[in-house]
Amino acid sequence: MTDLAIPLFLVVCGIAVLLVKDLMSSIMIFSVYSLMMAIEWCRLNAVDVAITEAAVGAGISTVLFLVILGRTKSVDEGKKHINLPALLITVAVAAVLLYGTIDLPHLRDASIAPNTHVVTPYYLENSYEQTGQINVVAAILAYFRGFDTLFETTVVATAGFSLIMLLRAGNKKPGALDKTGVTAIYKKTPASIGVKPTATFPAVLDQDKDIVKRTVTKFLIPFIQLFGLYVIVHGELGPGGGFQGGVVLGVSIIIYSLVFGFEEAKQRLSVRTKDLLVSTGVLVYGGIGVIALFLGGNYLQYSVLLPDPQFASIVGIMGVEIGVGITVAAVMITLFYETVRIDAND
Amino acid sequence: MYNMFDLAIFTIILSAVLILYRLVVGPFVFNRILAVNFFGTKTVVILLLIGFMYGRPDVFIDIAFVYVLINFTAVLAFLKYVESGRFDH
Repeated sequence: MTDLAIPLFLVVCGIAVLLVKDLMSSIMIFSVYSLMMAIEWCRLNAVDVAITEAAVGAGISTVLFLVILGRTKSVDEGKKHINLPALLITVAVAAVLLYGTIDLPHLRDASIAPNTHVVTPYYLENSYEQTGQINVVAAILAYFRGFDTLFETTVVATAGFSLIMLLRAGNKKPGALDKTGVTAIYKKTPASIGVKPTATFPAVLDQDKDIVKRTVTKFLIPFIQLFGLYVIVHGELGPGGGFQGGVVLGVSIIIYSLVFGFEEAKQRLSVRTKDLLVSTGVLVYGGIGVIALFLGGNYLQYSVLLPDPQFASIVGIMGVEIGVGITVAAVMITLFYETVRIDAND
Repeated sequence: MYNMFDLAIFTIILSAVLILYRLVVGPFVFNRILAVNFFGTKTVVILLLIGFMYGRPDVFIDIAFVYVLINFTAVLAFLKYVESGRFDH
């Protein structure tokens, strides 16, 4: 029954996203879609994917969509006309994708590639002896496929840096460089760039207005951060790991900025610190690999780090997960900070 | 033959369909915000039911925790957008 109900619900959500006129309602339905999608992942027993969908789909992407919406318009005011080539291309791509679903394996089919490939039993039988990880997904990500994860982390960091260069370089003005050559734009206050505080500026005018939101958030943020750290270091036992935990940590800063204001958030975690953290995570990950080289092993061979190979693997993988978590958290905060900031020439 | 957890999940999805109507039709933005919040709660319940159905609730409680904490962010962002329409202060 639920085999049919949840996919049907997803299809209804997808159609509703298209039909709703107001973009904000689309985003809301999309976040509901993401919630349902995570239930579907759970039902298929893919708990690591579900926790990623939970953290990224429902949390970060909804907030980022809304931030973008805050800088554009919510209602489409253009003329309604059908672009025929675009329609044809869309229909063609949809047809190809639907044709591709015919080849997908059926639900609970035992003869699919992940079940029959030779590498699967190897991972399942050897992951605990070699890596000390009870969660096989964490063992594959950080040990057997450690290089892949290193480069994934690098890609995430590169995306963060690209965003910084794109959005901050465009705001550069002659004379805005300070002595170190770094643009001084984020040192400006809204007043100094000509944005006058209005009545909707709760930090300066009306302290009591958001008292419920502020109190609840103040109470909740430590738990969110604690849970983010738990997800990062608990990847060896349960679902989660550096990526998911990093997103949860990043969300805690974003919540702070949403409730207490962007300026206040920048005092807690400055733009410069955040920029440094983006590369620190990759440095930690790559650094563990280099330490392994110096101790006589291969790159990212954790077993040489300490005398006991299995315990060394546990420590090495935890260090790697912490590195991934730092980078992902910093990049999530970068996405929010750089998109939110409105500068003089906007 | 369906077991109790299956039926419970199906019932909650039915109630979610009812609230999906309120989410799509509106008419006000606050109906929609409440509907999104409602979905977060129902998702957590369904996740825990699936966890018990598969016999390992400890793993699914972790995911449910992420939802409880993260869905709060989305609702706060919606409220902030409705309130001022911008996020830079």
